Amino acid sequence: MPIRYRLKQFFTALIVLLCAYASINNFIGTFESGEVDFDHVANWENRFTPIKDLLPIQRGTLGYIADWDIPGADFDPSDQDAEYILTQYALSPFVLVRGENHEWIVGSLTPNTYKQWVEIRTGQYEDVKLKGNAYLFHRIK
Amino acid sequence: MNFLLSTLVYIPAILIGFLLIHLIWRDDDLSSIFIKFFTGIGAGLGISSFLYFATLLIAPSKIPFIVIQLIFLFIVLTLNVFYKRFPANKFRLPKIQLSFSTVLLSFFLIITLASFINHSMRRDQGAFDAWMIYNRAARFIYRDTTNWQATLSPELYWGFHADYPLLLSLNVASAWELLRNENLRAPLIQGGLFLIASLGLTYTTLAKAKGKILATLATIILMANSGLIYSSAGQTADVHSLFLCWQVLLCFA
Repeated sequence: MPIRYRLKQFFTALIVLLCAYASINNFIGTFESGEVDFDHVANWENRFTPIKDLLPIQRGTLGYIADWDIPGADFDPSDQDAEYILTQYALSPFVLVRGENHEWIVGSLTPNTYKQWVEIRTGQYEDVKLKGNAYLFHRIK
Repeated sequence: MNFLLSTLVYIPAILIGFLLIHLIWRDDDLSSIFIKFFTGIGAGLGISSFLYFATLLIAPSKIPFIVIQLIFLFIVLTLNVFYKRFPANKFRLPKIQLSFSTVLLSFFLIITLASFINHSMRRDQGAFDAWMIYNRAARFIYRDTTNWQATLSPELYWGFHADYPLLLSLNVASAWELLRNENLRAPLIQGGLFLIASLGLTYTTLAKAKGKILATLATIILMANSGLIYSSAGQTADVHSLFLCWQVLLCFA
């Protein structure tokens, strides 16, 4: 049997074995993708979706504030970014824009940052606290 | 039940794609039929997405989208009958030969599908991109159909990629419209369909052009790529892009 044919067989077998190793590894890796009974996206949604029932409007733009908007607050930027994205996902079709320049503002604040934010705006907003650090603020005209 | 219904809603789109390609491409040998089927999955979902987009532009929420899909399917089917594209004597059932390459391919296919299902069960809302871009846009369209353009709002944070094509989002929104709820399986099935289409297209096209051994090897290499499973089960657009590029490249093979 020519050496070329043998080499061809060897490399084909090597590719197949490497692919089998990679595929099985991929399958094992999927067990680390998360837990079957815990959906962190749905969990986040359950905190923010009730806001939609409290709003007198069906669509439009809402403000969004979180710990990253509070001076001196301790936060992880990537967590804040993910929370903003999840909140937008939960509250679609409302458009969430970062900042306070809106009549209705959605807040994702820890108790400390909430106190800090409210203290300097006493009388300017009425707020509703929902479960899990979710807030809805309404600017008083 | 959710899973079955979410699969069934994509059947008209797949049929449209297959029948349209069958009408244009007049090659009726069995391998070509399979190529047409796998190409038809992507083409059908693309056409369906475009039809839904046109419906939203012209008359959002006025006509159920399934009616438009069925009318289009009827037209394509009639054209196939008119041009005699179903010659009964040409269609033969495939002969399944249990060769080593078939066994090998089946083994890898089972692992790939198991990985897809396992990943999907653990992250049924998909990956970060899915809820940031595609399913978010689908929610904008489904939840407020008459005001669907809000998903393109320049006010949206750049990370939501409001400018991204609506292919996936429109298909998901139209599936939800038919199912009358935001079924989490609908975007997942779409990811699975593109996964199957990519694998099927790779195998059938290469088998026709270069033989079954090389086609098996290429498909195995593709299935061993972890990105393929995570992207399709993660409901992101990577596998769809792969499919479209693959479709063009393999047509030249």
